[in-house]
Amino acid sequence: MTSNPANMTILTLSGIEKYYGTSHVVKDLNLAIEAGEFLTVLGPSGCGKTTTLRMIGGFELPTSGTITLKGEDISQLPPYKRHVNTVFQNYALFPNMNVAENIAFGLKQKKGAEKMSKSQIQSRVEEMLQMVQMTDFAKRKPQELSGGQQQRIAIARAVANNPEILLLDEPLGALDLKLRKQMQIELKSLQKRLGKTFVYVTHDQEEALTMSDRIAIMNAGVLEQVGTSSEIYYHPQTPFVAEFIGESNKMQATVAHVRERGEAWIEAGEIGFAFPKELQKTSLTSNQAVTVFLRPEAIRLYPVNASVDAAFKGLVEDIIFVGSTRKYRVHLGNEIVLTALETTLGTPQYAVGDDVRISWKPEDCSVFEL
Amino acid sequence: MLRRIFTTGSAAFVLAFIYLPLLTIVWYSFSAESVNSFPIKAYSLEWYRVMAADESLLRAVGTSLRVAVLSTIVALLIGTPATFALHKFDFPGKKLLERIVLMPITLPGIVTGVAMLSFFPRIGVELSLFAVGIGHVTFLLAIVVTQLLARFKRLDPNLEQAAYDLGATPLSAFFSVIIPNIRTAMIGAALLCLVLSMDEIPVTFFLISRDNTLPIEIYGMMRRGITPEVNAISTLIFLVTVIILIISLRLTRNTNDQ
Repeated sequence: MTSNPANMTILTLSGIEKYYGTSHVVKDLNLAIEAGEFLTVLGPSGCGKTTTLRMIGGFELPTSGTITLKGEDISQLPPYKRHVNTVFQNYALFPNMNVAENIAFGLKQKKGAEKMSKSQIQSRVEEMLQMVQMTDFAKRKPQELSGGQQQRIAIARAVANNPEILLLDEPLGALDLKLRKQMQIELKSLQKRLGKTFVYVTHDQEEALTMSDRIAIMNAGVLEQVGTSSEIYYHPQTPFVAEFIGESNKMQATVAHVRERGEAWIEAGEIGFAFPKELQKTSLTSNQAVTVFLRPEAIRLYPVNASVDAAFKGLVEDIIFVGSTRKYRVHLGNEIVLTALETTLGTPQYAVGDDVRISWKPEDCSVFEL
Repeated sequence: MLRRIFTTGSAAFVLAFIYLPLLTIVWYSFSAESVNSFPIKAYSLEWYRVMAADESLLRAVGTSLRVAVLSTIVALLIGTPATFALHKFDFPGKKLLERIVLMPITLPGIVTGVAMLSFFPRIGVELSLFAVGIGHVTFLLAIVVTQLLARFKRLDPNLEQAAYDLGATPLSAFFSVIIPNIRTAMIGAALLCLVLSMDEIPVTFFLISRDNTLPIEIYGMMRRGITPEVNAISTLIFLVTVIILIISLRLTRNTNDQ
C-alpha cells in the first residue's frame, strides 16, 4: 500500500489554535508532515514555533484543533503516551545517571507486550552508542561530557525508543559555529540513515536551508509558507517570507497600468518594468500599491555604455567586501538604492562613483499587493 | 592595612562572642571537680563516666532521638511531595502559602506550644510524645519546604519533561528523575531537621507528658544547679551538632555545583 513512504502523511496538525491567557500564540495552523521528511519550522523568536513543537510533543495542549499521528488523534494525550521523542534545547540529560543509563531510560519505561529484557535493553543501548560514535563514553556522567558529546547522547536517547517522529528544539543553539556546522551534517546524514521523520525548530535560516527537505515558516503565530528550500528562497508566497529569508532589495512601487493579457507595468520612481500575468500571485490592477522584492544576486550590472534591454542607469555608491562576494550599492535616483552581488574572484568591475546600467528579469521579482 | 586589621578584628570578636562560652563548657567538662571553678586543678573524664551511668539522661537521649528521627521522616514524607506540588503548580495564593509555611519558625515557639496545648486535646490528642512529634513536624515542615523549594527552583524543568517524553508516568518520573536529583538537598534538610528537633524546648515543653526529651531533661538537671555532668552532655551535643552541620553544608554545596 505504502510503497512510497515519502508521500505518506504521518502527522497532521489541523486548525491548531493556542492561547496563553489572552495572547494568541498559534493561529489556525494547518500542516501535514510527511513520513521520513526533514521538516524545519523556522521563524523569529516568539513566532510560535517552539509552542508548536511542544504541542506535538504533548508538553502543551492546543486550545483547539487536532493533532493526528498515523491516523490517531493524539491532541490531548500526555507526552508519555505519544510515540514521539524530543531532543531538548539544553539536552536535559539526567545528571544522576550515566550515559548508558540515560539512553536506557526510555527503554526501561516500556510495559506490557513492549517490555524489554535486560539484554535487549543493553544491546539497544550499545547500538545507539555506536550510532552516535560514543561507545567509549557509556559509563561517563553527562556533566563530564562536552556540549557536542551531550548533544549526541541526547539524540541517542531520543532515538532509542524508535519514535515515529523525532522532535528537535533548537538542538544546536548552544554549540559554537564550527561544531554547529559539523553537527548539521551529522544530523542530516543520521536522519537519512534512519529514514525517520524529523521536525526541527530553529531561528537560524542558514541551518534550515541546508538541512531541510521542507521548511515551514512561521511569523507571529501564523504559518506563512511551507516549501522546499529553493521554493522558499526563490518563490516566497508572503512579503514576510521574502524579507525574512536571505537578503532582499525591497521597493515600494505602484502598478501604473495593466495591459492586455494582464501584463502589469510596475513603476517605482523613474524605474518601470513589465510584470507578466503568469508571475502575478493575485491579478494586479491599475493604481495598486505593491511591494517588490528582488534578490541581490538576480541583479546584473553592466558598463554604462552597454546596450541592454530594460536597463536602468545607476550610480555605484558603495562597495562592500563580504568574503566570497562583493556587494554593490547602486543608487537609482528617487531614493531607490539596490544591492547587487558579484563574486570576489577577479578584480572589481566597477568603482565607487561609476555610472552603471542595472537590469533584472521579471521572474526574479516577487510582487505583493500592499 | 588598617581596614584589614579592623575586619579581621571584628570577625574574631564575633566568633569569640559565639564560641567562647561553648569552649568554656567543653573545657569544664574535663575538670575533675564537682563545681565549675577556674583555674582547673585536675583533669579527668569522671563526668563523662557519670553521664554514661545516668539512666534517666540516657533514656532522654533515646527519647529525643526517637522523636527527632520519626518527625524528620514524617516531615520529609509529607514535605517533599507537597513542595514539589507547590513548585510545579500555579494557583491563587501560591506566594502567600510560600510565606505562611514559614510561620512555625518565625512564630515564637512558646506561642506555637501554647496554641497546640489548647488545640490538641480538642481533637483527642493526649499530651504525649506523639503530640510532641506532631508539634515538631509542623516546624520541621517549614524547614523541609524552604530547603527543597530552593532546590526545585534550580532544577532544570526540562528534566521532568524529558522523563515524560521518554515514556515515564508522573509517578515514575518523580521517583527516577526528580528524587535522585534533589537527594542531596533532602539529606541536608533531614540533618538540619534532626538538629533542630533534638534542640527544641518550647513546643516540647507544653506537649510532653512523662518521657523527657534531652533538652527538657537537662533543663530539669539545671534546677539542681549546674553539675559538671551537664557540661559533658553539652559538649557531646555540641560535637554532634557541628559534625551534622558540616555534612549538611557540604551536601548543599555539592548541589550548587550541579
